[in-house]
Amino acid sequence: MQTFLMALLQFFIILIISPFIVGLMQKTKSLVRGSVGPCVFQPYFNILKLMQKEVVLSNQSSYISIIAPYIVAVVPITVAGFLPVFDSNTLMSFSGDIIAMVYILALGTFFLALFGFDQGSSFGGLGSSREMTVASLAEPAFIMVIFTFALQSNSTNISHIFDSMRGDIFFNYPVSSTLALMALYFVTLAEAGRIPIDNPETHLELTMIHEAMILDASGRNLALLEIGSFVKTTIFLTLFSNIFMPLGFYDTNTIWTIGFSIFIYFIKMSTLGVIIAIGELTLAKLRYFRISDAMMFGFVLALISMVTYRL
Amino acid sequence: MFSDFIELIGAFVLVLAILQITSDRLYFSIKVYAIQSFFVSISILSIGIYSSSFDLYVSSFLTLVIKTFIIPYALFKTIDEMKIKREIKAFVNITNSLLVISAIIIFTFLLTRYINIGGSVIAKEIFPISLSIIFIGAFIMVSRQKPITQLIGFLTLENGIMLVATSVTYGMPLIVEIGIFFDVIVGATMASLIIHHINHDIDDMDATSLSDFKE
Amino acid sequence: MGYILAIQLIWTALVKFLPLRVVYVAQVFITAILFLGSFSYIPKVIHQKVIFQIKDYLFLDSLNILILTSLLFLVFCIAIYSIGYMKKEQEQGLSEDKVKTFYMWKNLFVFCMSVVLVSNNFGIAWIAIEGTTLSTTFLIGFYNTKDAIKASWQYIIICSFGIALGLFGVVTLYFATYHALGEGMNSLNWINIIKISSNLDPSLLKISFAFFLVGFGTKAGLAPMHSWLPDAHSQAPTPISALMSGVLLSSALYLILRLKAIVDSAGLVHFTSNLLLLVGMLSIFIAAIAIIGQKDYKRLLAFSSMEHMGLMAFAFGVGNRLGVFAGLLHLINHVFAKGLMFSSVGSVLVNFHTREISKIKGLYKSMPLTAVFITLGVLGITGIPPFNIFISEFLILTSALDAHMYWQIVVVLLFLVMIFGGFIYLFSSMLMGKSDEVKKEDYKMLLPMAMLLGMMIYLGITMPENMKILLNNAVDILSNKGVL
Repeated sequence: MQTFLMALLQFFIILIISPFIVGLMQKTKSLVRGSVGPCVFQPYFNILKLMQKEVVLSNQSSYISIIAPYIVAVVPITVAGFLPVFDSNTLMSFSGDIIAMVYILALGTFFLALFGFDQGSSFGGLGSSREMTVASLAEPAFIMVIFTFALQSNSTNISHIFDSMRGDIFFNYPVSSTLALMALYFVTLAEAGRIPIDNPETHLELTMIHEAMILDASGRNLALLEIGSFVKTTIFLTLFSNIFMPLGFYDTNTIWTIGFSIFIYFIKMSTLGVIIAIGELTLAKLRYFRISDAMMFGFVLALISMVTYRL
Repeated sequence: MFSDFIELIGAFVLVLAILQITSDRLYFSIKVYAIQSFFVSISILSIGIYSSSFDLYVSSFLTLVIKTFIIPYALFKTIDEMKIKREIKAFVNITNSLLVISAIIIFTFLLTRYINIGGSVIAKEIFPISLSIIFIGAFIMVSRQKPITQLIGFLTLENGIMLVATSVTYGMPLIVEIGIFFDVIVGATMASLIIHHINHDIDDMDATSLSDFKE
Repeated sequence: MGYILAIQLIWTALVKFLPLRVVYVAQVFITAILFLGSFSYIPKVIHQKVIFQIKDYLFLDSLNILILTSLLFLVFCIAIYSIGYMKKEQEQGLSEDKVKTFYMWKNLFVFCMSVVLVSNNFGIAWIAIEGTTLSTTFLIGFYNTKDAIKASWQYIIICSFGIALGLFGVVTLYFATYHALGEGMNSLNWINIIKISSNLDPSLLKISFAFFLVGFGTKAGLAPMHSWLPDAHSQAPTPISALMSGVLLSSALYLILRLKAIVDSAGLVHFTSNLLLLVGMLSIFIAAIAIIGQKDYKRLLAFSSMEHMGLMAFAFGVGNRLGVFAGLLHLINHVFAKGLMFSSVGSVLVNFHTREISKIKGLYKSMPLTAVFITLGVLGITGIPPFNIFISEFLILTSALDAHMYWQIVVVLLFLVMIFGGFIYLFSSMLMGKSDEVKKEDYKMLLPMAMLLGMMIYLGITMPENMKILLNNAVDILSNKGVL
């Protein structure tokens, strides 16, 4: 019972902080640029506001537009059940296979792309085609990274990887691990739709990818799609900070150590968010046709990391 | 632990060499080269501290001054003076180059795996890493059309050799190293002079026009 | 031998500050002194086997004294030749300052080659080889034409690349030796390495040799990386082409040989020999193909150099005693033969200002004496008796016969016949025919040709006793018997 409660706690922590992380990134960017910017908690308010609004659907759209937002939101939320925050017992730890996790996430991307197409507007299809291109380019690198860590810890179960990475593995193979993390950073940028792959702030038709797909969504649908993208971002950051670079404090003995573990997790996530935000400010968005080069670069990094580990 | 640190630095140098492949702008290429040289000099410095050898301090300092500042500065100046266009022309596009590179990297690692490198080696992985950097530099030289990019490829290759020369052994003899530095700086100067000539006297100079020139 | 290097360096520095008239004369005297100086070492080397100087950074043994002496002889001939050549160029509007620049770079180039030859240390030899690249780059771009600048760019990029790979070979060698010999210059000294060569790590030596062969093979004009050679040779001023083809290539090959001796005694004879055989035959093949359809006579000679380097690599690849002997003999013979060819053809170039074979006709009418030298040179370099090249080529093929390499002999002979045919056909079209103009032939350009031709015939008919001893000692050195 206690482990179940802990798992539930971890699940909800991931869900709850996800809008905050995105808000923090926006705030950081605004502050560095010299403007005040929206409040850190603005994403929560946005979601609440959108939830109360009416859904307007194009008369060209089919049942896909009705179900897709739910799937897009539910898929990352399900995946959040896989991830440990401070303890290896998660909701899905009985079958927490990391490869399953990757392809469950792909299901969400697939339905998001369908949703884009289904609007019948020119931008939606454009965004979908771009999104699928980026996703398919990011996938090899992502799988490569995962294989590296799976090889290092001899398991594809997320909880096992979490446990063994918390041991000495990171320091046993520093070269391999660092390269894999660098590759994962690229994958994160691509999957979370950040600069230099995609710019979440723009609505410029030539460059937008994610925004193009959800351009026609409104009300509750938009809120669901936003939740999906927030949680997805958080999932990747959690993978980064907890699974593959488990530096921190993990202790479940007393209520206080649990609290402290959560606090440390929170700090780590905020730091990562700020790092990514600052990274975004220093980079320019890549031309669409250069994205394949960037993802290929990530793939090669992942490949080297595997080669340095295994060969 | 120390060998891990050296290997990590070596891995960064390799990553920067790969980044060099993905670059399509001359300014970016030169910046990457400067950062790469900086990492090489850190690697040399840390081995120098580890083995407390004066020779390595000298060569680290020389790497820092010559390769991180002087050569990039000279290259920037060359570019500015001659208003070379920013784009880099390549015979092989970037994605395919990266595929070739990954094959090269796997190949070098396999190659050195079958070689029994005995004795007290500071960092074993540096050997295949540097070999990869050397091949990547060579690949940049053959796959790019503009003279200045070919020069950057050569400098990358040379960085790889510098890395292996200092990290596998405790540095080559000082006289040899200073000679190498001297040659590199003179070679780079001469190459930029020729590039200058080329841009002055020949409008459409790139390696494609060299093809009417063989046999 | 320290003073040989010192004189060259000082003279290089001085050239720019002296009047040109003085430079012309002094160059001849200084090179004569250098040649005689190195010649005077021969009895000493025969007596002591090896001489060290400046601690043990410089050394002379039977192997390098031979190459050094023939280098300095060629340099002496070229010094006389250059007076005539450069005066002709001056008549056509080359400024005095440029001529001095030419002399400065040329002397630096010769200095670097001498350092390569006498250095005991692979590191220093590497620096000097890179020095030869840098000092000849401007000489190749000397005439500042479009083609010349392209050729010099190609030269500096390809050679620097090759030399960098060679440096990797040196690093790997150092990596293999520094456990046994400790850190510092000792571990790169050839004399020290050869003594302990049998207990070095063979896999590292393999890598080292492979990189040496590709790297220094670039400078030696061997097959896969030869592409700089024809352009550089055809664009450079002719005296430089002669020096590059005659000795630069040989000194790069010399370094490969030094390493081969080490790798061989670590028990990798098959590895090195097979690589050299392969590279050698490939070079001969490519050269033969390129020679037949050639339109430019300086390029033709450049490819001929490549063919001869390939032949030498083949001889060292055969690897038995006779093969190594013949290879070394061929190396020395080639210096004279190629010197003669380039100087005679250079006179044609400086008078007619075209490198195209089809535009030149009737040399026997317009430049009769030069034409005689060209004829004899062509016969000599393609291996007709009584010239020296015939002897060494014959010995190379005999040694291959001894080693039971039948099909290789057939292939090489086939290529040699192709090259012979190409040479005779192309040069006869230049020599024969009618021509109305009569050019004035300068005795300063004819004299060195006569000297080189004399050496060719002399070495073709007989071999001096001292040379025989040195060659035999050199073979011993290369097969790691009785180094000291």
